[in-house]
Amino acid sequence: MAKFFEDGYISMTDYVDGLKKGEGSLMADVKATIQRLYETEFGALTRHATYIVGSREIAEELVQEAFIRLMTKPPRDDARVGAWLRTVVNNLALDHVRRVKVEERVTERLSTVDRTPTVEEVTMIEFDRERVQKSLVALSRRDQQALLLRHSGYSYKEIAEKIQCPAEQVGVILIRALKKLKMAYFDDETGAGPAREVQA
Amino acid sequence: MKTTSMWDRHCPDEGQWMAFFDGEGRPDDRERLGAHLRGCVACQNVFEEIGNAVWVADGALDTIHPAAKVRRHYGKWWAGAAAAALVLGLGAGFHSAGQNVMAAVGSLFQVKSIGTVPVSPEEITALSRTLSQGGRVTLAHYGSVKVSGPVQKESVAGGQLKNFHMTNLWPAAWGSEPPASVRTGMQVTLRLNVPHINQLIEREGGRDFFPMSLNNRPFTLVIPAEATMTHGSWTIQEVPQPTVAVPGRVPVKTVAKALENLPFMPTSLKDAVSRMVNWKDTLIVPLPGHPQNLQVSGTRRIADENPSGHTAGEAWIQKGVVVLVTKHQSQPISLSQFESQVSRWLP
Repeated sequence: MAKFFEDGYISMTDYVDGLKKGEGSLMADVKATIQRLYETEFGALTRHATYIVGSREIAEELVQEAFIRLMTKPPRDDARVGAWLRTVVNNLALDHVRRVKVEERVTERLSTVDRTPTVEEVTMIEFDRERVQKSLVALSRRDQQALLLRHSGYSYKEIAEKIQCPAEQVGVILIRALKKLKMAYFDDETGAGPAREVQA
Repeated sequence: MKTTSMWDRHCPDEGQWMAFFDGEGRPDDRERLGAHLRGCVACQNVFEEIGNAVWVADGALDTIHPAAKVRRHYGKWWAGAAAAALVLGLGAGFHSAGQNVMAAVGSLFQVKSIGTVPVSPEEITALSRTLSQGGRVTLAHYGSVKVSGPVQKESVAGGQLKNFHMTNLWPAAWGSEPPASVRTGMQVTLRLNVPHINQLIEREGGRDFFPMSLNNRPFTLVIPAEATMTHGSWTIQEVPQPTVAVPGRVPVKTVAKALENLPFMPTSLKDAVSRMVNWKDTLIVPLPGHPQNLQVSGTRRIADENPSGHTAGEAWIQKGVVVLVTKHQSQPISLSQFESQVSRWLP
């Protein structure tokens, strides 16, 4: 292909090829994207899952399953696929250590009074942008900042520097802020929330 | 850090589980946390609750907050260059469109002409060192570039190019024309992290800042279609009417001033930006080496070759269509010969 500029610079061809490899890549070029993610993320995810399940072999199977889910139900924003995979792996690993049978889980869920949706249901929710925005600004400035930094992929060390708190406190600040956001979003509604609609 | 013996008596708190969930912490601590989780039902419940909160919150945040950290393989020059072209193009558009027009339409600009300024490798190195703050931050620190498309790729006959608002530029001298490869539905969205940009301006001694109203607002470059035709070592590419959509109510003068006075901009680029006041609707393309500004049949054209001299290119805009002609061969190309060939075949 013709290159207009020296290596490292953009040509119209590179530019358009770049476009092609962009946001639509998960749909347009699933194989290549999954392959690349597999190479970059598999090791770290497997180590993480091994800590939880205590077996490398089982960990690898769980990570494989997470990748299969990625192919069938990709997240909206493919810049966050790494974080998405880690969340799926965490949940699969937890399910594994609990050794909960599917039937039991279904029964348990039907009887639960928790208003907020479960993991699988959340993937089906269409979030309302305005309400998300409203729920977010209801939080303290520090909580908002911490949530957005985490969402952007910053490390806990970087978050600690930016919100000026000790690094050991980032985890607790984040989990409380995440829960507050979740509460604010679902409790804001009168009557049936999206969670209910999905469950119905 | 807590010790194993402590966890035997007291469970880790939810903050520690959160960090574990996110893959934070030292390997030996994480190993111990994992072992605890396997055997502790109470902590499994805490961990499940974290998983649920993360799903909901991340899903919600995805709708309002683009991930600012660009993936590693993504950090190519083309993304940065697209962003730079957008900003520079905007600078041009701001001046020519006027505030009243923009307030009314929410703003859509069309690039009508193209120009180039040389940027030396030293200037590029210096610029990238400043922007990366000595390697501490990536371009993503200053905003995000999101690309989508193409939606469709098809092969069309030259006569059909007009359906895509393009002209069939195939020179008769090249013989019968091949089908053109047309891609449609491409879009680039740029969002600026204004606080980060302003911090950098301040650190570099600048006085003119970007308005906060631009923070994280989408600037969208829409490329309706792109066509490619090849003939031996030659390639003709056309991109019709790229438009830039800008969020409404942009304080034009503030942005123009901030752009012109960016303290870390190479001098040549700075001059080019300030000249945009006069160069209406001109897209300035910074190129390394010695790019040339030409005038062919009353149209501004830019031409350049790569250092090895094996590839030469010329670009211009005619009737709203961006045209790029390139020649690539194993023998070095004479730029002047290339230019005369292009003017002969594509006047």
